[in-house]
Amino acid sequence: MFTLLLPALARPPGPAAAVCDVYPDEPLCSGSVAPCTLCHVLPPTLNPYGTAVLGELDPELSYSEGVIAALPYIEAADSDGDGQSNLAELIAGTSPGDELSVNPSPEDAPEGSGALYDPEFAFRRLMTAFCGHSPTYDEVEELRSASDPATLLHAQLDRCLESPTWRHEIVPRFADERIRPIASLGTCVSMMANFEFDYHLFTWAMTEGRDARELLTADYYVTSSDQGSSYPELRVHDDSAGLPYPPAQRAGISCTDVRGFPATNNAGGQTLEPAHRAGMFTTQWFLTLNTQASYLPRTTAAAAYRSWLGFEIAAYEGMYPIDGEPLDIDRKSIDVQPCAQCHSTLDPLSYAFAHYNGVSLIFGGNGSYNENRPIELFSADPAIREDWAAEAPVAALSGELIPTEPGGDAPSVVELARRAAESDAFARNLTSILFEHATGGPPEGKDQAEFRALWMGLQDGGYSIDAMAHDLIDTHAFGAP
Amino acid sequence: MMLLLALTACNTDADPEAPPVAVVDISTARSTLRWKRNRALQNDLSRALALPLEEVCTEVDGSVCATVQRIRYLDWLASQGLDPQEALQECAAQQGTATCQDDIWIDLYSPLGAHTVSLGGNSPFLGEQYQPLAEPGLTTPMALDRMLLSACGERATRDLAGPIEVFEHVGLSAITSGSIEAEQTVSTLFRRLLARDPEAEEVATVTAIADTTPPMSGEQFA
Amino acid sequence: MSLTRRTLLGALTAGAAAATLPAFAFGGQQRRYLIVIGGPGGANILDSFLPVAHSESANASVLSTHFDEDVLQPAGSTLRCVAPLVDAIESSLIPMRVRYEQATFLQRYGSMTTVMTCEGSSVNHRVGQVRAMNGNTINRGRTILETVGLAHGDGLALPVVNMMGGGLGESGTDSSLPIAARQLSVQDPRTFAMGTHGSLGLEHAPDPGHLARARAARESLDQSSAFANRFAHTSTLQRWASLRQLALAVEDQDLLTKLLLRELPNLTTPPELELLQQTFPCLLTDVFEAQAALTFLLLKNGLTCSVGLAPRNGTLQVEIDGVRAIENPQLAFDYSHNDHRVGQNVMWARTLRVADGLIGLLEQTEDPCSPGQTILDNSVVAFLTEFGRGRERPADALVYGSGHFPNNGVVLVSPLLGGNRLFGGVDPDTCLTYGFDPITGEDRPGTHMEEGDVFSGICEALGVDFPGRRSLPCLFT
Repeated sequence: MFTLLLPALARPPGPAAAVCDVYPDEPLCSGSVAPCTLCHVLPPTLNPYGTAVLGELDPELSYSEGVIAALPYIEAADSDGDGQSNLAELIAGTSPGDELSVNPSPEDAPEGSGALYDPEFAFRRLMTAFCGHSPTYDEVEELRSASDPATLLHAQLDRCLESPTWRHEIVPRFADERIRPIASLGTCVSMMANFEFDYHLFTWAMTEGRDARELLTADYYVTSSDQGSSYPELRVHDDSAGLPYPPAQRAGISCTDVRGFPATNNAGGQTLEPAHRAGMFTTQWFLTLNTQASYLPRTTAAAAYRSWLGFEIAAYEGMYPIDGEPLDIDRKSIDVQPCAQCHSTLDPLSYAFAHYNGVSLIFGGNGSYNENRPIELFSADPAIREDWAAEAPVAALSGELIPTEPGGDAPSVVELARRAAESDAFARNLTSILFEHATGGPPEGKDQAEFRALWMGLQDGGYSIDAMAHDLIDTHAFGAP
Repeated sequence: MMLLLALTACNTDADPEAPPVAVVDISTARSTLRWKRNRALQNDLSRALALPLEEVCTEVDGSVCATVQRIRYLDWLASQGLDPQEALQECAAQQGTATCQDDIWIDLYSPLGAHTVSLGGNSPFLGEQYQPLAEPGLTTPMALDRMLLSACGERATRDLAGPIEVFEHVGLSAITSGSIEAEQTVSTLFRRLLARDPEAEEVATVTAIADTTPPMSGEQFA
Repeated sequence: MSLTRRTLLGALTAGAAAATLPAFAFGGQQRRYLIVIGGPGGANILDSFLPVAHSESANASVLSTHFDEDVLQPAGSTLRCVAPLVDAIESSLIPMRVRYEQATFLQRYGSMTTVMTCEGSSVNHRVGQVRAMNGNTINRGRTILETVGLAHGDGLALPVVNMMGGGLGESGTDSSLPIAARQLSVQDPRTFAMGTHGSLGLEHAPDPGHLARARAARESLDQSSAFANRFAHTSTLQRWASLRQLALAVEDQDLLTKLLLRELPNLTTPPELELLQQTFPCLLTDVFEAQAALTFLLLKNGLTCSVGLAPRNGTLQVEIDGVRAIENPQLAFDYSHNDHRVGQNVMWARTLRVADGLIGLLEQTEDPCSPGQTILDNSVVAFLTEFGRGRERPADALVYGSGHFPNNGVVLVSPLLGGNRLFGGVDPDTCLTYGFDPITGEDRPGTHMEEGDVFSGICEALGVDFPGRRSLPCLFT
């Protein structure tokens, strides 16, 4: 019922694409797509930069051609009056239309010894960031006397990355905002889903040089080896012994689901068969927490987009509108402006997730897969279910339509996740996590070239976070703040 | 303990004083530094003062100021509002035993403690706090001082009882600024805490703390 | 707002005898206070001050209506409420107890209580909570707490304090918000005070004079060390230096003694503690009660203008009349998934009981910035939640679950509003609320108010303006 032959869009249409034709390597386009807020306060209201673009549009040209032609004319201007030219702001990754968005380290910032790469500074910083403690006096002395401090730095980084502190204390904190655990729902009693699996998979993919794309492509689960007093070991769960179950007991107490019944895969385990698994996109916790009881899981899709590609749809980021969308398949009246601006991107992303249950006692478990969920969900309006059957919504990511599940008719989260994992946005987002952790803040203006090299290096280096960390400590952003 | 507090100027994760080994010039500097947060602070104080991690700082109510550990059942019950005695009773009742046998409840590590948030940590499992403070807040300087004063006071007390681990001159009844004992104490702490030797001017600045009437004891100076 | 040590010290010095502080002027306005009381899980307005009685609805048996005898209307009140549902509670899945009657709240505060219908824009807990707090981004993504803190917090030691969790506890998303107006997150009100002083009460607390000397030495090192010189240009060090100065000013105010909620070795408790223990007898074990107690102390001591507090998700058991029962079910209002009527009835009672205690204290206490007036005179207490609950039920069922549902309403308590008024209404045959004309207040069936309207109405009451604020003059008639 779904056609795979519709023309796919490799880039966002309209002005966002035009901007990126002119500034393909600048932060707003490099591994990203220009947000609507570059020119708008909230669409359609223009900000000062958007107003300046409008003032330069040539009525003889098409809209996109006009934008491309107009942008160079306003580069030297300071549309938002914050003291930094439009071009300088585009290069620095700040907004030329918002006076409150400024590059904190402009070219005329005071120079000093802080502008020098300092191995000792880098050594102290890497010890704290990656080992969780400062170096000793003797360790610093050893560095000072080293003939090749760079080698010593990288050797120390290896030791940090192999430490349990990195794996069990530091890395999991990167996941808190993405997993959003709620102990009232996810621990031994009153369990609806168990977020421990999510943390274990996250830590697994982000450490020991593994391929971080498996965050989104893993068709396996990761479990913790023991409940002992030392740091536990993680291991891939072998499905031959069945799906991973929730803990049967903790602290001498039998674990139960939210109804007080013994916890089962339905609540607290992992119900998905490997063919429908897509790493962090399809854990029971992620689906239960975000989809809950919704018919079209927009929150799930938006959380996936935000957490793993770095696009906050509510802030008009990552907009790749699809022609004819939103269908307003669940009759929420979101097919009118201004709602349609975001939902023309969000709803196609959401269609794929509509085949996964959130909270469900009907289809075999929280977070389980049901190809026919959109046309069977008992709590949905029958007319909406009929609309779904008739309209056959097609999922899309980044403007590209998603083929169907192998052997089925449902849009595939697995394929969506695979494409997401290959995207520049994914690499850029992962790099942001480590960059901000290691340097204390997001890339500033002068860091942009190094930052771009880092996420491209991540792609070229087999998506090893460890390898990227080694690249990172060599940057001036890290060692010459 | 005054000494340690004085040495925590600029609480960031680097304090390079020596000439750089090799430098590469670039045009400008970043506007931000990296914050040495809760766990790194606890680790550093533990290592510098030779104290077990859990004994770096204990609050006035007996709870730990800031640490990281797997969530145990009594931690969970405390987060639900139970006082320690009630928690023990509830634990035993749930376990069906006469006394509570505390054990791991959530198989993940998490920051815990009264000053965790102020010191830059977040409690995702018991507090539903998914992001730490982006930068220090108003209560950070005070939480930091409580950590420092607790840790140093504990070390001084232990050294006074012996054996001495850090403060060689803790037993002196009086210590004077400019004395060799004061300078040795300052140098020791600079090395243990900042991993470097102090400048002469820094030694003078810090030992001047002891310039009081009546004079400070070795313990007070430490 | 620029919170410098000078302005802070000025205000705090003047506040040494808090009652003598002159009325603080903001462009001719007095200082105002906002207290947000969150209803995590979906506090459904039809189960508190906008109930539909069985006999009023043509579809009563399949909608969330209440028996006629359970719908109460205290004398003089235009608002109605729901009685304690004793029968339902006894038939509940889990033993629960109601410790407070909604009618009591209306009897005490009905004259200053406003119910305003509204409709949320998300049925996801976190998203709905965030939008309840930021008016669905009506003010640059700033929360209502931050917005009020920015307008009224100048000179206060802790302008914005948020003790809520989940989406209700999140900061706003406007990075341009001045640092001084950003919220201070309080995880545990029972231990918060200990973080407001660098040494007081510690076992190894030094002599104050010695501490001052050590700090002076630290300042000297900070100004002269190679590290400080190298990074003096960074915003990090500049901010850290100013924070240290602010912290000294906070220490001077002895907040630890003013905000301590229990007796601890070497520390003095605030003089109000006995009163607080009478009002909130479980404040040492019930975090929500402790939040209310801390809220009172923050406001009474002139430290804060914008506070958020809320019940938690975890189960809380209490002993009443020798019977141990649950007062706060698992997941708070969201327990309605399992048992709607009981979950709502118990949680509304719990929320209003604690609110009653807090409002009563604010009603008795002189405003530290406005002599002759009470704190409540200058406050808005807003009950905010992420959404309502589904209105359907199996025919005549008393024990049934309800889902998330955007249609709802909010409760505002303030002498600054007209009070004893309902804006909008409910269609008894659908149990759906509808909107009103923001100018005249006339009913507008078929329309609904949004999160941004609630946000705007609160701001209007507190004299806070921002670009894009909507006007709801009817609230003040």
